Amino acid sequence: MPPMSLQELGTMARLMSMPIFLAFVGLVVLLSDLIFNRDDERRWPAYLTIAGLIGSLFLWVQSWLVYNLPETDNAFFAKARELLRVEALPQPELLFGGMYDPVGFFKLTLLCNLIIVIVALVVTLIAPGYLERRDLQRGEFYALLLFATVGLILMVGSTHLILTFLALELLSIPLYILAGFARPDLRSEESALKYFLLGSFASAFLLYGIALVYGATGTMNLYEIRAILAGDIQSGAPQILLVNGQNNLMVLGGLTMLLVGVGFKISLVPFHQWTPDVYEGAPTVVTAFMVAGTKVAGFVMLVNILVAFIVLYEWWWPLIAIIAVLTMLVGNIGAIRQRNIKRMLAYSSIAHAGYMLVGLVGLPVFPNIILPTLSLYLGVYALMNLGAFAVLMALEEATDREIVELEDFAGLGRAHPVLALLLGFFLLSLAGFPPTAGYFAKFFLFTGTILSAQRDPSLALQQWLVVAAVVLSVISLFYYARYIIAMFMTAAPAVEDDEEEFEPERPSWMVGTAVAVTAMLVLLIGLFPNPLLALFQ
Amino acid sequence: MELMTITTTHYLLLSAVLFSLGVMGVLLRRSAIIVFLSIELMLNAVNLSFVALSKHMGSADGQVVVFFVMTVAAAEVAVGLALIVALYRSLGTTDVDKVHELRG
Repeated sequence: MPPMSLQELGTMARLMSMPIFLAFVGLVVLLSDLIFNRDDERRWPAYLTIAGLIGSLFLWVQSWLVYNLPETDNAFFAKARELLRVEALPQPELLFGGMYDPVGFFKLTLLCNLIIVIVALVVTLIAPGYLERRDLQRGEFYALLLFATVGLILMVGSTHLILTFLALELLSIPLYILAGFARPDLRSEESALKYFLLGSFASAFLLYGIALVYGATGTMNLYEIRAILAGDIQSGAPQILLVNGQNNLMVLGGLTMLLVGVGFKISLVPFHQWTPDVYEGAPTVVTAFMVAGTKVAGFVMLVNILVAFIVLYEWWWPLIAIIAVLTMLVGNIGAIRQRNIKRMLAYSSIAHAGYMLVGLVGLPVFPNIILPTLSLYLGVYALMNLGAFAVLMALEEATDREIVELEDFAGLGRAHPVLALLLGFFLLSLAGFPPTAGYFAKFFLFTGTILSAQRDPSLALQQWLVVAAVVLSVISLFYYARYIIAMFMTAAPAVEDDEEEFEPERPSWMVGTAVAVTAMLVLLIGLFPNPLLALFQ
Repeated sequence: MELMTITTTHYLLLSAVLFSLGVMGVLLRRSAIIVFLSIELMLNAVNLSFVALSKHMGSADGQVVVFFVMTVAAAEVAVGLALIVALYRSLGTTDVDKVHELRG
């Protein structure tokens, strides 16, 4: 590799500024815990984290503008172009030795970076109140959250399997700790242990997959893997093992192992059993982070891997189709049985992973339709779940009790009408009820899939996948609506007289902001889905 | 008797066998510590693959990965053992079958 000029290094640092900056903020927050150790200062690490995340939003806007500034003569844009100019917009192989691509296919990475920062921001907003209620205020919470966020960002932008593995671990290891953060609560500890054992088990599979792919192609760079498999370039390694054509056992074995590893992380059937237990036992704010953040980043990772193996399309699409059907079935049927909202949302997140997989089947035919709709779906999915969790936290704050089981929801519609309505809104959106954001996300994704099935007759089966997805999302309305019915149509349980005096509190500004931001975004996407989708394309 | 030379294939086979042993350990053993040890065995089996392939292809990439994997494994040990100790303190056992607060 030629030596890098100072200017190139500067460009690189600027385009990678988000993860670098957030890692730095994470270290600062970790240190700040030493300073803010009085009881009335416990919230300061959270404030610092929020400031850091807002700062990284500006960095995101900066990198968005670098890639998307319109080429008009408008004086404002001309000035902005001058300020933001990147000398010879770098090729993906320039950044970090070809390991990191800040944009991704159809801006998938760039958009998911924004989703991830918003996820971290909302989780940080709802965390302090929850941690105080459970007496868990420890400053390292926010530092771990930030490190996990850096892991998510690197995972999404990784174009090299080494970085994919390292980013995954950078995400997972803080999450193992966060899942067990409520120790000595046995449920939290159990959740952490299960997550840890199954998570590192999955990482080992992923790693074995990387080794096999490396052995078969001689490289771990996803772009190079794609080119080698397509026969565009010869492998750089002199004595390659077994590489002859595409249907090579080592490549297929490696791809399967990679899919197993990723499948565990985004809880695809049959690797989903850990999900409800871990989501239920972990502290609720950590569950929110896992539901929204990990799933989004894991999905982008899956897309990146599948794109690298696009030549083997014929081989992997039936596999993905079968997993999609199973995942949708198990997720939806499992959710019906649940009477605990955290477990219900865990199963619902499995079901949503299934819907997104349906979209992925059409990936090679119409990437220019599937990928933007997928990023819209990922964003809406993350926001809806975050919104539901944020309202849940606001309700807990307002009622001063834990609201998890179905019975806890009785009568909330009367006591806290606004919050209850918002929760109903998010749940309906999760069910894909028109005209919410969840409906449009599903609509676009499924339309794209049908279009690609019509383009390629060998994919006719896909239309049936979409039919299954639509039927199942209608069924899903049942288990989401149950909580709405409980809130509005069930009388509150009789309370003792001394509790009758209890004045409903207003949720704190932090939780209130989180609820408002997510509700507004979901509402906006629901009202104006088309311009947003155009922005993504 | 002709002396057999050890080729890359042998290393890869050994690695596959070790990896399978690790998988079986995770699936069959009930002590959290042994399960964890089996996971480490899987990681090291993969490391063996990486080194063998790297040597075979004459590229250093695989050997670099091994260093990363070792670092990550060390970090995992630190967190994992802490979790197991915390669980042992509250439950008095590390048997994963006895950990079943969460069900459904």
